[in-house]
Amino acid sequence: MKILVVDDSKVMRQIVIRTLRQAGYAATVLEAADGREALGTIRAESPDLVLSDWNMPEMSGLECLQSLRGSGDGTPFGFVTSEGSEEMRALATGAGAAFLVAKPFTPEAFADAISGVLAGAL
Amino acid sequence: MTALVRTDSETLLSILEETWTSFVEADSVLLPLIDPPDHYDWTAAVEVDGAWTAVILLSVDHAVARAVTAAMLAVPEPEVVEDDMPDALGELVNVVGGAVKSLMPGPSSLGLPLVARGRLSVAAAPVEAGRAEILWSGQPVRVVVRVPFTEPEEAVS
Repeated sequence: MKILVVDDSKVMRQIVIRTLRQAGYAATVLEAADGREALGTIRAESPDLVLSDWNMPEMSGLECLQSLRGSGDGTPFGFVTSEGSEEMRALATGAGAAFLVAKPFTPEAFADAISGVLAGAL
Repeated sequence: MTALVRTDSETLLSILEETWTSFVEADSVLLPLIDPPDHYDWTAAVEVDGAWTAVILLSVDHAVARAVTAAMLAVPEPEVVEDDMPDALGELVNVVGGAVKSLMPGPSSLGLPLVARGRLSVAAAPVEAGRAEILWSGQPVRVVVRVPFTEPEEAVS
C-alpha cells in the first residue's frame, strides 16, 4: 500500500507520516511539496491514497484534486488542513475528496477518516 | 467592512493547548504568564482575509523555536537546523490561525504563513483583538490577534 503525503511544510509532512504510523498504517509513504509535484507523483506511482494540505504555493490541494478528477483519475484523496469549516468541507466533497481532517488532529481522527477509504486496498 | 470580533484569552489558550498537545508534546502544560517579555526572537504570522480579516501572530524565543522544531520533527534538539525553525513555527501559527478563523464569521480564507526573526510589521491590522501570554516548559509564548478596525465589538468565546 502506498500513501502520498502532500504538504509544503517538511515538518508537517513528518507529523502526518508519524500520525499515520501511530494510526496503524504501515504503508510506503511518498512525499510531495505542492499540488503540482503531487500530480507528477500520482501519475508515476499510483498511490492508494493522497493526503494533502489545502493551502500550498504553486498549486493548492484543491487545484490538484480538480486536475486529477478532470483527467478522470479517481485516486482516493483526503485533505489534512488547518481549515475545517463547513464551507471548506463542502468544497472538498464537491471536488471529489473522500474526507477532510482538520489540524490539529489525532491518530484516531486519521484512522476514522482513512479506514473506510483504504478498506479495499488492505 | 470587516467587523472586529474579539477573541478572549481563554479561547486562545485553549487553541494553543490543543495545538501544542497534538503537535509538540502530548502532555504539554501551558500556564498563564503574568509578566511577559517585551521582545521575542521569532514571530510567525498568518493572515485571514474575507468576511473576517485579521492577522494572527505567534512569538517565541529561540529556545522555544528550537524545542518545538525538535519535537515536531521527533529529533533531538542538537539535530535541529535553523532552516527548519521557520517551517515549524509557520505550521504552528497556521494551525492556531485556522482554529481562530473557524470561530469567526465566514467565509474567509487563510493565507500562507510568514516567519521572521524579531518582529513582523502588521500595519494593515493595527487593532489588537485578542492576546494570550503563556508559559510552556518554563519559556514564554505569545499569541496576538490583530484586526484592521475597531468596531463593532463582540466577544467570541
